[in-house]
Amino acid sequence: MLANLYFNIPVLLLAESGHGEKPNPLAFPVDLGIWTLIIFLGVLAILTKFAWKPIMEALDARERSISDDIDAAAKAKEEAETNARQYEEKLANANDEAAAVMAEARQDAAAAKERILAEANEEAVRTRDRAMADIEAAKNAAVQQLAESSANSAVELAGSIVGRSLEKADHSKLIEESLKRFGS
Amino acid sequence: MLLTEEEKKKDHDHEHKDGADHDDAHAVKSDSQHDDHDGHEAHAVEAPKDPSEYDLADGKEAFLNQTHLFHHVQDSYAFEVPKFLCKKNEDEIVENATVGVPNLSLFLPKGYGKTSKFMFLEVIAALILCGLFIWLAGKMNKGDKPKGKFWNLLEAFVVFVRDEIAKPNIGHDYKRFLPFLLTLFFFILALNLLGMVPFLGSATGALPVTAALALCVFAVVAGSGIQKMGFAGFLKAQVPHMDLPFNLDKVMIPLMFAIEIFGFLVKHAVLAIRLFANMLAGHLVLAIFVGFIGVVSVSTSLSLVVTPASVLASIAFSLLELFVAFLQAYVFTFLASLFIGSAQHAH
Repeated sequence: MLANLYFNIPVLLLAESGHGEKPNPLAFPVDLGIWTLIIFLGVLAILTKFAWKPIMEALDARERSISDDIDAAAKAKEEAETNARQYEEKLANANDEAAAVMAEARQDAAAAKERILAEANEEAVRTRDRAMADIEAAKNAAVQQLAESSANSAVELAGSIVGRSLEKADHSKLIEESLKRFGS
Repeated sequence: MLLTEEEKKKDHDHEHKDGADHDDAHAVKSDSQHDDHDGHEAHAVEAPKDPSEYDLADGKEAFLNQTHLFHHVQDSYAFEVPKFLCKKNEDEIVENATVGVPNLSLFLPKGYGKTSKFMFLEVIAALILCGLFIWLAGKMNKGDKPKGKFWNLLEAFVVFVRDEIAKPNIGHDYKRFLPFLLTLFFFILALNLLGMVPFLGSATGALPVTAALALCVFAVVAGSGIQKMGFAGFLKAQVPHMDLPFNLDKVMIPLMFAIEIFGFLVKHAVLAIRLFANMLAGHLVLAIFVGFIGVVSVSTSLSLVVTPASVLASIAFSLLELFVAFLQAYVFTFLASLFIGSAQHAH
């Protein structure tokens, strides 16, 4: 049974159908060709105008912008690197500067301290000297006053004792003599 | 596509036989494969008889005869449709389930330009292409970022044609030919892919279609060459420069010229034939593999072996055809750009 079928397969492959014309794969219906030509040229015209040109332009524009972006990015990176280097340098400088400023400030502070202390000392010494001088002067004045008043009272006392009033010139002379005595 | 159709057809043929032979006494439900495909075949199929009882050489029964096979791959004036669409009641036998092609040549006088299946499919392909690429152009013109699978897919193809086909073959002047090459590529691709859609057909499997496209290529190649070098210059450029002793060049150059011109014509003709033959052969192979199912349907045991094998083979060949659809569109466009490129530069 199966063998029968197998033997039949070549027959099937070669079989001519009773109905319909023989198939011809190389048949060339010209109207299909002309139709294809018209459709293809129509599609070509429409797509060229409304699709391919805008698409190509958009692709070119995008590619240009991508390439520009890449260039810009490279440039920006370079700039950033330069900036970073500069900032690092600046930062290092700033540290040094800060240290210098600190040292100077400390030095200034020390100097100021020295100066203030010296001034204060000086002032103190001067004040003490002035006070000493004042005291001396006051003491001298007081001594003189005491000497004068004691001379006067001694003269008066002596006058009253001797009962005579001395002339003015005598008076002065006497005082001077007394002072000399007193002083010696 | 072909599978279901063939299966259905086969089933109907079986029903037909059941009825014709009046041999329905023994309800042996043997053909299990039929259940998978057709629910409506409720009544029993009789046990297979000796195949010799069937007239296997009859065109109606022979799934592998030329008429039947070519019927599936050639142009016609009707679309085949699933048979159940034409079935009014269960017992009705539908020999040919077809829907006529709508007549598109309304502007032509009656009797001229009857629209065939392939013509209709070309119009469909044209509409799809216009829709797709005008949509894409609109999207791209807005300057948006390329977003979405479909947009990127189409763009990838466009860029492929530009960078892999046009640029390397034509050189610096490639931009002028880009619209032509892009249209060529996508038109062929669309027609090839429509051939993979069930119940449609592959218009590129018809010689007039590929010949018309090759004619366009020929026109562009010759036109651009003549534009570049002048008519005489273009013809002269076909003959390579030779240093010949004596007066040999008086003989050789005309000979070479004849050969080169002949070659020039032949390579464009081959362009048409290559695409046509590839598409036709691919679809024929598919039809044959599916046809095996019909041939062995007279025998249950044979069917059990052959049907799954045929289904697997037709799946594999469908995948191959899908690849070929892209490949042939690429090859055609590639060769077209190669010819354009060689016409731009002297030998």
